Amino acid sequence: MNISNAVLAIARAINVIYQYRKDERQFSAKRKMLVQQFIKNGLSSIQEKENLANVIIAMTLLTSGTTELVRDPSKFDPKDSVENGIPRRWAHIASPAAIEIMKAVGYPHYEAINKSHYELAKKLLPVIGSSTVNDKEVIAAFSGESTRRLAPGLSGYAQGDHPSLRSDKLLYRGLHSLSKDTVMLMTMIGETWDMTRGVSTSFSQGSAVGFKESAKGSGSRGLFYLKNPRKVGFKADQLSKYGKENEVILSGKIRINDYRIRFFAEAFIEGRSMPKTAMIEVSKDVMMCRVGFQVVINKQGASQKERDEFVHGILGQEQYEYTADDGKKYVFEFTDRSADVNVDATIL
Amino acid sequence: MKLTKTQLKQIIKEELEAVHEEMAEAELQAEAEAEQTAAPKKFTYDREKAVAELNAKFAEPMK
Repeated sequence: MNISNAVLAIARAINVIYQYRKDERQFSAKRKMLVQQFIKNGLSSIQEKENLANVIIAMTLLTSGTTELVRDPSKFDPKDSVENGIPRRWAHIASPAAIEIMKAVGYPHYEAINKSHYELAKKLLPVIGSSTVNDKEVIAAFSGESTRRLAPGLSGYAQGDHPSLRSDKLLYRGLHSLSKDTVMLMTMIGETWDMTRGVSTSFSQGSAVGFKESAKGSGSRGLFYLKNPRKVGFKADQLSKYGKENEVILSGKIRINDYRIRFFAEAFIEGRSMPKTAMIEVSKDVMMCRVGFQVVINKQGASQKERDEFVHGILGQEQYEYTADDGKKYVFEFTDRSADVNVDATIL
Repeated sequence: MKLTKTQLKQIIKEELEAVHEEMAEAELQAEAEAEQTAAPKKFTYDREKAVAELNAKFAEPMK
């Protein structure tokens, strides 16, 4: 399935409209008119309008539908797709922007969500997640006379450097409740894996960190810094029901470049009878172990091999023996669910 | 019983050989043990499970 640049650019432009003066209720009627104008001026064929509706459906189901059904639509059961006793409809899960787009292209937004919608989302998310949009094409959408008449300040606003408009060079993803195996994978420099089915990221670091921190104590946590040299991704942002998350749908292969990790371990230290709780931090600058207020290991400039052996040894073995440079011996036991790992990665 | 010089030489030779063999065996064992201690222990993790979990976690909306 191919989605034209024009469709993606109009979706991005409408996202900007919903960011512009977003807290002003009195702008709501004009905003709706702008959506209609943008679609009328920007999309000439019925096919393009249909495609815009399909993009909005896929985006809405990933951001506020049932994640499991996006992965496997065959599990859809109308009995479970219910909201307050009635079949779940778009109005239940879609944003005002999404509903307005559906109305403007003549899509029956009042219909109940069904299995075919999830099947469509599964097919379309990898496509829109790996798409690119030319920022100039988005800005051009604001140059029409009707825009100037309806919202004189909007053209100037669209010339600015707004994160809602521009394509993203860096994306973020917060994670929580991670198993030890996943933490281990996140510390494998050079490791790549396929995430081409369409996933959720954010252009806001604050949103990603907030999500990471939202379930403290339920498992290890992580934050991905995703370099995006090709500027791929579909900006769901204000088009999704959860606009504050500043979501970007992404699809691609990910490669891990580097990591910084902090975790706790039980440390058996030579010369001490009782084990102590140790806090261990490893980054490319330092390998450090603190026990109470005392720093017992502080190694600057360790090689990647050395720090990988140290981290993977503790995470991957029940007991890991380590001899420090001063000859002192340590045995570490990883404290489950205690890791907090930041990963520097690239979307290939 | 009185042993001849040749017999004595033979006994000493055999005893020495036995001692040498024992020493060589002990040396080999010590080397093997040292090698085992020095080699980094292999860590284990389930990559397939980790990739599946990471993909599932990334698919969750951050709400």
